[in-house]
Amino acid sequence: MKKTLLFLSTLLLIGCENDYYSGDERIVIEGRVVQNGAALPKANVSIYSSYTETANNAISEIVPESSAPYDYSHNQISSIRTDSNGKFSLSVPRNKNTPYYIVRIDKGKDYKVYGYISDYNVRDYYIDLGSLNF
Amino acid sequence: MKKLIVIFGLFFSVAVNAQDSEKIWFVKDFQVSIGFSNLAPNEGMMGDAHRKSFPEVTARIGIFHYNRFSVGMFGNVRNMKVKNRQYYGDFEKTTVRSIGPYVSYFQPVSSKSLLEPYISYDYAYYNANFDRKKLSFESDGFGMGIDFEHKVSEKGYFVMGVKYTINKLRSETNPQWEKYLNNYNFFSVKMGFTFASNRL
Repeated sequence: MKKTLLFLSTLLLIGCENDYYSGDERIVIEGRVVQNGAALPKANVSIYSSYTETANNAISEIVPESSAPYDYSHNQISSIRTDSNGKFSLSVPRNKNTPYYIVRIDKGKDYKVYGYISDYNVRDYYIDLGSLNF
Repeated sequence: MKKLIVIFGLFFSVAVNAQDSEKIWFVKDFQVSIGFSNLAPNEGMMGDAHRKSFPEVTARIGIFHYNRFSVGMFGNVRNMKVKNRQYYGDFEKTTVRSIGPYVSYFQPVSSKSLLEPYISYDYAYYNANFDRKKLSFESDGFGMGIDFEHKVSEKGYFVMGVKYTINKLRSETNPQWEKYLNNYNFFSVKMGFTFASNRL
C-alpha cells in the first residue's frame, strides 16, 4: 500500500512540474509525414520535452509498451498541422531541464511518437527529421 | 553600448564646459504615456506570432539637460496576445518590459508647441506563460522616435508620439533562420503628458 501511494504521489508531482524554457537558443525542426508512402496532409505534429535520456542519434518510432518507455512532459511546446505535401516546419526554445524532445503525430484518433531529438542529432540548431511514417 | 557611453561622455563634457551659460538642469522633465505597440512589424517570428499590443504604458524621466538636449531613462511594459504559435511556441501571451537610456532634443515650432526627436537603447525582457510552461528571453534594441508636445499649462504638455524600434533577440539559432527568428522591428504610437519646467 505504501509503495502504491509513493508511486502515485511521485506521478502526481511529475505531472505538476513546470517546464521552463529559455529563448537564448532555438532549434528549427522540419520533416514530412507520410502514410503508405503518400504525403499525409492535416496531421497534427506536436513537440514535447522528454525526460528520457538517450545517446541514440537515430529518429525512430517510440512504442510506449516497448522496453524503452518514453517519459515526456505533457506540456507540448509547439505544434503545427502538416501542409498538402505532408511537410511541417516549426521551432522550439531551449528547455532548461532537458535537451531531449519527442515528436507526436496525431490524425483522427490515431497517433505515433518519434524520438529523440537531442544534441546528438541537432546540427547548428537545425534538424530535418526526414519522412515519418504514420 | 560603448558608442552610447562615448556619446554620453562627449555630451557631458560639452555640457560641463558650458556651465557659465547657466543652461544646465537636472531632472526637469517627466513623461507618462499610453499607446499601441507592435504595429507594422517586420516579417519575423515575433511579429508573426503576436497581435497588436494595447496598452503599452511608458514612463520616462529626463535626468540631465543641456540647452535643448536631454539625457534620461525610460521604461515601459506591454502585453501581447499570441496569434501564431508555429515558430514561437505554444504560449498564450507575452509580457514585455523595456528599459534604457535616451537622448532627445526639443525644437519649438510655435509659441505653444514643440517637436522632440530622440534616440534610445532599448533592453527588453520577455516572459510568456501557458499551462505549466514558462518562457523567458531578452533582446537589444535601437529606438528612434519623435514627440509632438503642446503646452496646456505652465509646466504641462499634451504629447503625441511615434517610435520605431529595431530589436535583435539574444538567441542562438540556425544561421539560415536567424534573420526570421531574431529580428524584431515595429512601430509604436502613444499619447500622454510631459511635465517640464525648462521649455516654452
